[in-house]
Amino acid sequence: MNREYTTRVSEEDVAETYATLTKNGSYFEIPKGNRSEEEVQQGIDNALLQEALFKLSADHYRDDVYCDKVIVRQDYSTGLTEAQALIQELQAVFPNYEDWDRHNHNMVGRYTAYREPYNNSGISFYNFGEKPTESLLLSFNTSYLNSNLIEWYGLKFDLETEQVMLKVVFYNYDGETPELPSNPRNFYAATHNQDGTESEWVDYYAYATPKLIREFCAEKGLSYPLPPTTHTDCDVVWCWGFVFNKNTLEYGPVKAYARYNIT
Amino acid sequence: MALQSTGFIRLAGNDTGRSVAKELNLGTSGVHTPTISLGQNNVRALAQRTGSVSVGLGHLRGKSAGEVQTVTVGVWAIPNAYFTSYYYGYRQSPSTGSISDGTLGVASNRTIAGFHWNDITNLGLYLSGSASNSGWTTVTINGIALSRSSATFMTVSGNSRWLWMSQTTNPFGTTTGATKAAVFT
Repeated sequence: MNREYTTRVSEEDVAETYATLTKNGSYFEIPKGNRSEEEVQQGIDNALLQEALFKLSADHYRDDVYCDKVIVRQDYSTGLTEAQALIQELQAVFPNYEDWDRHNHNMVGRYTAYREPYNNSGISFYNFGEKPTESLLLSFNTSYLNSNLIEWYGLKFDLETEQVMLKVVFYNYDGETPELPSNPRNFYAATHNQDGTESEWVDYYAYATPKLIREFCAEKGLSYPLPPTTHTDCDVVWCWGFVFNKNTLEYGPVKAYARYNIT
Repeated sequence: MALQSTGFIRLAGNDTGRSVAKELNLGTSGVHTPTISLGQNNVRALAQRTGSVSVGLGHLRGKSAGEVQTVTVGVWAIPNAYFTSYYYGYRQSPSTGSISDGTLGVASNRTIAGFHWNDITNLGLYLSGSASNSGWTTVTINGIALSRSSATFMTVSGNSRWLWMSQTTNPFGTTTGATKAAVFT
């Protein structure tokens, strides 16, 4: 989908041209010059995406996680009422496993067995701003180079088996990967079980415009996670999740994280 | 003011209109005798002879360094969940780093509300209040020249900003408390 715009020519220099548009009350001028139409369209998408990022609430938000065109999960920042109900459920089954209310910008959400390695339904808890401690890593019989760790981790609480999985998030993956969309803030995650085993499915996260991901999915024969008419305006979706099997390099389902500010 | 079009001009010294160093506000105030050469980036930017082309004193005649804003670098992190972005430069609120004098004359005397680079490789110049996408051509930060025409310009909620995306080099550096001159021409 190409976005409509008007072209403005600078009064100071006729070679200085811009694609201009107004959206949701905000005005944009994207450099045009001798760029191709595709590059101009990409510039518009990037501008809209930056604006969405700029407007993100620091601690009151909800993520709708899409996979194969349906919402498979909703995550809430822990300061919200919806999150507190889930935290009470967690506390009942896994008392004091974590400091559930450490930050208002942590997240919690109910998940289902919509993809491997999740076999049952449960509740996810994401602790942001902190790397997993050495003792937490050791309790899952794993260790990582501290400098490769990103400052958050996830815990997946299986409410049926009462087992916990640890999702460790890191910058550099030293194994082979299938082709993945690239950007300056890519990162990976590995899922560890309490019995010391590790899932063969590796997560990869990319921060990109919907157009880029739609094209990537089409090229690789993957199911684009969003319905065709959902979030085409780069105003919400800002993070995309890919999964691959580290042994076979087979792709898993693609996820889209649509973030909404909750006021 | 601009360097003189006639008569002598020189690289260093305290004579207004004749010293390149004074025009660029380099070296100690009132003296302006830093180590300076024709080939350095900010001198080339003033001469409008960037890149690998030759540059001489003659190219500097009549040139104006324009407006200088001096950023004292602050560093902060924004945990945007799923990744933490690190920012380097100045922001008005919450107050991090500082800027002098912070009133951008080339943009209708608007207050600079933010001027920073982040590790998502975006460099942003944020104003308090609206301005038009005109009035200056280049901003040179610590010798790195960025053209206004290559920036995405936005006015959101009445506040204007210029954003350079995919700016992989951090012109402010990573040292808290370092000062970096940004010259608008």
